[in-house]
Amino acid sequence: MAEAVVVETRSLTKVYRDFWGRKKKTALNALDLTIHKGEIFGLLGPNGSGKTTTIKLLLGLLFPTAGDAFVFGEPAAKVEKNERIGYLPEESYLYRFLNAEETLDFYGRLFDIDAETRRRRSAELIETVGLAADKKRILKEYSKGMRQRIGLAQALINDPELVILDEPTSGLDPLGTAWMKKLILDLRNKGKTVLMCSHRLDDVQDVCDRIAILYNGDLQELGAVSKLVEDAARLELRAKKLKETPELRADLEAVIKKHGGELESIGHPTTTLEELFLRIVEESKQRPGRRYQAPVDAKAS
Amino acid sequence: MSGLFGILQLDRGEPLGYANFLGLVQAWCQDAGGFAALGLIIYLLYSRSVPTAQSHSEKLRVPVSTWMLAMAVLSLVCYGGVLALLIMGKGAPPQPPLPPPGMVLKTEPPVWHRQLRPMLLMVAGIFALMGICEPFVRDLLKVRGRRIWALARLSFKEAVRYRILWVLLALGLFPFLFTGIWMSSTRPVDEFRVLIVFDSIWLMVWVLLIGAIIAAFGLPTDIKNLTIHTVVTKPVERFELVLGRFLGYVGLMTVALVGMTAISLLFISTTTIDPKAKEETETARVPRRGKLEFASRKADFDGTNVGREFDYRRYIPGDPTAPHRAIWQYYEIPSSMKSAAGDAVPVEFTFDVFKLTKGVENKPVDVTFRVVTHQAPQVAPRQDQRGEWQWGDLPGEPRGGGEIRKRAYDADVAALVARETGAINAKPGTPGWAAINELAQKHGYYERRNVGVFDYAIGRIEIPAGLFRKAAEGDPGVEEGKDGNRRPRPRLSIYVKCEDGGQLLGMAEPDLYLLEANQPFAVNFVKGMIGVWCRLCIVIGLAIACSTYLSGVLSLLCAAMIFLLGFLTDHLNDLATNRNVGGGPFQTISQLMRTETPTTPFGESSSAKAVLIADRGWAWVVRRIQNVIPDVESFTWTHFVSEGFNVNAEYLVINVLMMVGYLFPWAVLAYYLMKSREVAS
Repeated sequence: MAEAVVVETRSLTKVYRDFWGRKKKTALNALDLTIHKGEIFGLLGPNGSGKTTTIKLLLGLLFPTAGDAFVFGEPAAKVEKNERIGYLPEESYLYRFLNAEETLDFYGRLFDIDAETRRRRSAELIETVGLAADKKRILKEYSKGMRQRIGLAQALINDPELVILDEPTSGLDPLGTAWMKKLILDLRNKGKTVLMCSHRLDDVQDVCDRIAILYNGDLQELGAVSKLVEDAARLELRAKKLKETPELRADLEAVIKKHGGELESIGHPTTTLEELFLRIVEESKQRPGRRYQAPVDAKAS
Repeated sequence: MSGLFGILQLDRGEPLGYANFLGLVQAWCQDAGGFAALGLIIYLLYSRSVPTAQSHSEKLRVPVSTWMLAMAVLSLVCYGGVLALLIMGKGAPPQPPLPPPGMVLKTEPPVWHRQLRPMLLMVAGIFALMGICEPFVRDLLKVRGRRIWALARLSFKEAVRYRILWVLLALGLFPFLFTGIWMSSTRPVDEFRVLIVFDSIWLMVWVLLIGAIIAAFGLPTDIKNLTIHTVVTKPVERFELVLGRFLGYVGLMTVALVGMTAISLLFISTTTIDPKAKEETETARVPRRGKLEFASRKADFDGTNVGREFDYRRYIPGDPTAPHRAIWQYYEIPSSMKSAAGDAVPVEFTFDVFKLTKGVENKPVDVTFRVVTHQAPQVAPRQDQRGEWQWGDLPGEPRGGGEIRKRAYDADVAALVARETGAINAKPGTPGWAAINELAQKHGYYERRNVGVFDYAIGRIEIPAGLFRKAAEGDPGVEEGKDGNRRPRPRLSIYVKCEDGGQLLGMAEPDLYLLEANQPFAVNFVKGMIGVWCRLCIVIGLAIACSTYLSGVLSLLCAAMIFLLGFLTDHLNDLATNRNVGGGPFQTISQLMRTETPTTPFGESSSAKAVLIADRGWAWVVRRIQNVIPDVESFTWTHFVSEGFNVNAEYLVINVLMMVGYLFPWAVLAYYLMKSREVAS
């Protein structure tokens, strides 16, 4: 299954030095990673932990101090490997004097894509990222979210096999975030490999199959998200159509005690704020004119 | 032609043409090769500092092949040979003696040297170039036109959409609104020249300035704004960024230059100018210059030096009996002249009249022009003869052959005069001109006596085209030159004699020429702009090469400094050859410390010798710095255009080749700097 490995790093190390060659900081220390074809891999860690450095080393934007990085089995310094990669930087670093169409045309040319394919893909991607109405506006006039969308479009112009996303939801509103997460999942469904890094743990948890947690340049944890977040010492029960009563609590305590456990808490589960927001927006779309209705007791007071 | 033009021509020598190509190539291999060798050594040392042994990526990024190592070794061996020859004092090309301090050092045109030392130096340079260029050429093969075009278009769009560019270009047109102010103090006869010179210089300064600014800030802005991240993470070779930027900015500024040139031409054609000035200058003469030689009874006569500030012109004394002649010799006859329009070939000249007596106001000096082919050789008069030059014998001709041909010529002239009075003075376009032509072609001889010549004014005579038909016939053979060496005999010679006593007539080689054709002025103006375009390419190339490593401001300063030093060639030549009065910097410091004047003899002590050695070392460093500096003056055609002389296509081809040759090492440097740069650090 050598083909299945898309990204591999072997003791990848990056030390930043000053002009005189004196060591300033070890940004990454002997990182060993393997990312397989078709998975969504997340790099997680606080600021300065080495996530972006890893991505930059993989893309050849930085040179390793020691160790090696391979993408599709090729050394990271090999330019040709970029043919199969799409990259969305943290900030959408695009030319602000170009409009959306010109931007995609420019990046398409860099991939040596012929004019017809360039035109077709540009039109499709502009549609996909929802910028059809603004495609003639120069990027300088775009909001941050719009720039992130066109940034994603440029990353996909070559129909890449590996998509590298650096903080993909940065600057996006909850709707945009949800859209981005859906798109990432779609990419995986199409057989693409996604490598992303983010501080937003919920984003990572929602989409990533495996994650690596970095801290201070060192790899701290690596594995499948589902396994890593699983709390094996606890068991969760959920039931429908029940109300919390003292009788129910007593019965449950008895059953749990019988099986050697201990009831910690009982109550209604909460949804996430993101889910609430998305549901409200969706309802607003379904029912135009929907307004906030204050509860009856609040009106009375 | 103004006197200044002649001086410029002599100062710089004839512009470089195809004849200099091999010499240029050899010099380029030596100079570029020297830097390549230095670069190769630095690169090999650098490769030791990166973990190429452990990292595949680093091995790919900083490749060191057996080829590079082999070339480096071969190059060093050759340089070792050069050093050995230098120490032994062998294999050096002949060096002309340096003129004394204070005199201008004339730039010798490059020639191909066959001596061992320059050849070995060239070979060493070629090896070094082949070594350093190996990764460059390999990556160059990966360059794709579509990507280059995309990057070039991007640079173009970027510059166009910055409105500052258009504001600057609009400001560039501003001075044209005030011609009345800067033209008011110009002599009428110089109006056209001044207009063109001003126009060309202004246009050049603006275009170069804008080109330098946008080129210097292009890549650094890309790096600063991080937009480069989305480009280099595509399958783009780093050098494609450099090449794309270069082509984009050159394309943009070429469009600007073309626009400005069109506006300038419109401006020139609509400005009211003195008609005489316009007639003299609004053309593009194609001159055919000969070799100038001075001759008299005394074999060593080499013209008289009258002690004028510039030593370029030599003078012949005037008198009806004077044997002194200035002779322009032509070894090749252009075929177009054999069938010139009207069967006449114009000869134009500008002489300096040096008056020994006050003479008469506004009266020209009388000058006689004698034009002869190799079939009618002339010899200086003997002591017992008057100043008139005599018909000489042809090689292999019985003694007195020249005299017989002279008599035959005189008889034909007498017969012509008998047939038609005044026919001997016929002018082109008159019925008698055909007979004059026939006579000239038959005998290879034509003379115009007492032509009025004013000081530094363009004069013109027309000579029969029949002379050229005659001159093209047969083999002229060889003769003994003034230096005693055998040399080919000229096919055509023009003898100039000053007839006025008390006057001296001064001339230099460019002061007289056969006028081959007149080209349209507008075309010549545009050709002159090709020189500006070459400079533009150099400035943009320099700025981009610097910007691969430096910030925008530093790149601009660095490119400007390198380019502007190109205007100080004379001063740098003096520094590089230690010809300054008072010696080099170490001698100067030493003399300052000892409170000696620069003219004080420096002495022979061991400390003085050490100082002189240090100065020689400094001169060597300056010579190397000189190799980095572009010879910007070579790209100047303003004086050709403003004086009404055609800019030869040959010069322009060499100009473009020189520009490419100059930029190539910078391109290789930019390639390595860009490749070794961590754009995200």
